[in-house]
Amino acid sequence: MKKLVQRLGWPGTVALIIILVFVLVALLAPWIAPYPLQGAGGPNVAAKLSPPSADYWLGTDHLGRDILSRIVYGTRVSLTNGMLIVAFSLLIGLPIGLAAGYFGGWIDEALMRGTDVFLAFPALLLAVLMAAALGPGFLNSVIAVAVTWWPWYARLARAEVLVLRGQPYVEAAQLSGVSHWRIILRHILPATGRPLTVQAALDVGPALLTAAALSFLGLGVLPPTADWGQMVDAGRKFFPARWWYSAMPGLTIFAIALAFSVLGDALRDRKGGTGRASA
Amino acid sequence: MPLLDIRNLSVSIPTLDGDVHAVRAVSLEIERGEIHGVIGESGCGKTMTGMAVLGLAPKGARIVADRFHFDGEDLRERAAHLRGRRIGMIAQDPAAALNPVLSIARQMDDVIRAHRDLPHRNRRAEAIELLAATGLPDPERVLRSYPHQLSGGMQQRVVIAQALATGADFLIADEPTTALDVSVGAQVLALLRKLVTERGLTVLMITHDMDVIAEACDRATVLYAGRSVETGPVGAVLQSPGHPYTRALLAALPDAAPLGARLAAIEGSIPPPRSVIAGCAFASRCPQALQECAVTPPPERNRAAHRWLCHLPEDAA
Amino acid sequence: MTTAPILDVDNLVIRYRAGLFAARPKPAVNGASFRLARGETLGIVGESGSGKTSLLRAILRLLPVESGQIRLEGQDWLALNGSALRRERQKIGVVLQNPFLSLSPRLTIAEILAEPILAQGGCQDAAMRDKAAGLLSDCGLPADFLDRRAGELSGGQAQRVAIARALALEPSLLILDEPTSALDVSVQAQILNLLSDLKESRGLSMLFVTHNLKVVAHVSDTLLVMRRGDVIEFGKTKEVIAAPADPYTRELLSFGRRERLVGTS
Repeated sequence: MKKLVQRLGWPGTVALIIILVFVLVALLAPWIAPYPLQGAGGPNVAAKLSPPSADYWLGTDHLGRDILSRIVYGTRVSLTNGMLIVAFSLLIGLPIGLAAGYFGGWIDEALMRGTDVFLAFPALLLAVLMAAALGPGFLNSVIAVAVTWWPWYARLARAEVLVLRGQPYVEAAQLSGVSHWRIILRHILPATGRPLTVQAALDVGPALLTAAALSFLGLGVLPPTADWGQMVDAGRKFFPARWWYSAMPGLTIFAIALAFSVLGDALRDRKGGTGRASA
Repeated sequence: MPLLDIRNLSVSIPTLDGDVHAVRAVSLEIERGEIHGVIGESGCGKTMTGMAVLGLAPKGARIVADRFHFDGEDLRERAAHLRGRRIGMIAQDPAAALNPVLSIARQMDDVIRAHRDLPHRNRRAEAIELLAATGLPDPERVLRSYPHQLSGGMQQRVVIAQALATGADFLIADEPTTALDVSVGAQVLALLRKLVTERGLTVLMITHDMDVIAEACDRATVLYAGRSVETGPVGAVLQSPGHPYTRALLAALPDAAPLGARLAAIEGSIPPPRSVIAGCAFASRCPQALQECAVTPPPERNRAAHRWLCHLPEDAA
Repeated sequence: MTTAPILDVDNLVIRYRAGLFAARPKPAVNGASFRLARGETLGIVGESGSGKTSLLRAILRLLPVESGQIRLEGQDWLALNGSALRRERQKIGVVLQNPFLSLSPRLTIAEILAEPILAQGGCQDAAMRDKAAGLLSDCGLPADFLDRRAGELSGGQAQRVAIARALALEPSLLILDEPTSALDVSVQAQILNLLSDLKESRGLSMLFVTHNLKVVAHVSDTLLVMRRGDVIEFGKTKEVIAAPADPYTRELLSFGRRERLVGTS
């Protein structure tokens, strides 16, 4: 613990703890949520739109469901969403960046200009267009966001590879006749891996934020599955009189996005700055 | 009284795995108007000694000394004040010491303005004079240039001119020629010698290169594992070294042995920076080590101004 | 000369391409010719901009050549390409300046030494480990270094590993690019001694490129001094040292002699 604080500083450590708590909550949702059935979507009309109280700590929604339970269940959707988006993006971006950076020349030109096309659109707009075209749903929203996300990884990977390719140890391997494939696998990939995983871990926050934005627009997860973005949207109709309906999930989104951002800064400071600024 | 008077300086840096003893016991007496070489291999503490004098030791470092004075002022309190006023610094890589996007004129002017209250025209004249003093041909053109348009040797001259512009009379030169070609480095050293004679500068020259010591210095101090083990006039240190480490270092130079013959390498390695050393730090590698060498600190031996720390009697040297 | 030289460079010109309309720049290497006899060491000395690095990279086929010829063991070296070049490259072992940068920080020493052998179709087995241990011991390191990583070594130890790797494919020519410039004097002496041992025991031919004339003079049979792309001195080391033909060579040799000539004062 002491070492962790020394490495990350206090804000970073707190952020890390907050994120770990969210992960735990997601894993243990059915046991943690005060009303698991309502969390999973079961209505409870008798208590609809009750303000925060001893029974319902964060109040209830228009179907009388406990908002705390809904948020707890929503953690599962949000975190999986964020992680899947980042994983898909890595899967597309990393190979493209590696190839472009390592081989250079026309391969680099072709791949990176293609990447630029995706970067030319405003990211959220592109995601909305994609999601609208694919139709709402969990997997579709993941794909829609990943499509706008991977070019960043391609660029980051390429930049890392360009530095590595000039390293004497990579040149030494080339000179002893090691094949391109082996050099990429043994020397380049492990070295790009670390900065990219750090970046990817931090991007889970902004990614789930974007996903939440999509479901706020009705392009994400379908009810009755709990989702923070969708809850904010649903609560909008009752705002400001029933402020807790929108505010509670909104604050949750804010908290997790802030935690990721603070942790990101802490990690970057420690590593001496290789990542891009997170969205 | 020496200009720089250091006795038993130690600098330790606390880390998670215990204290790193970067400097263990360094004594240095540098007289006005000399070029004093501090020579040692990597890890001997030579750069950290320079940093401590400049007040630039890492945050949290513990600096302890029996005496740590510059011209009568205690460096433990005054280092930050003296730096950039009386104590200047010439770094190894001149390209890194100059801002690549500002013209030399701008960078010279910034320094002059910070130290002297002169109208613009006079500052420019001053810059030209200083650049000329460092042997740069056509200072006007140099002023209009950007660092990348100058060769390494010219850049180093600009850095020296900047140090002069602060009005510093004591320069710490940390490997000032290592990034330069041999022939260019020789010219820079000749320039430093000239400035010492003409302007009464004093220079602390940190280097790993015996050739630089021989070429430029009046006196030299040899550092090993954070301790000063030998000090004296360069001729004496190089030609009749007292400490076995100095002897071994000189014998390891390629031009010490006949062409093609085996060189006298020093076996073993320096003690780890976190270790505690009871006796002589060189004992484990010393071909002449006695029993007490590893246990008790060595006494000082001397021939006039040439002093070293060794258990071996003076005539064994 | 009775036997054919191992390396024969004839009138080599290397020129970096400037922009389309820019004037043709002065060549980086301006017609270099020299030979390296089998079992001998040739020292190539020059400062930055002398062309020594371009020359070296051309011999390693990392840089295109404008004109001239390079023959390695009689073979037209510049005519080789693609996989033939990759196969033939094992005739040359290379040691670079900074041992820490030239060893991958992520691999163990055993993996680093195995890499060139695997690249030439060897397979990973117990014999490989024995071979790696043998290479290490030839370079003066015990076998328990096999499981360490480059970051745990001192500069001298890392350079010994780099030399062991260069020898893994039993090259006939060893190219050394500033192999001791990043090392301390006492370690430099160890490495220079190791190189002369290897030259003796393996009959290696070596190309030793450096800016430090004194270092290379000590280990080489023949010396070649370059300046601004031109070869200004080429001859037997002893003769060059005794009577340098060019004033520039004299200047390089005299550096650091001031105090020794003046004597104790």
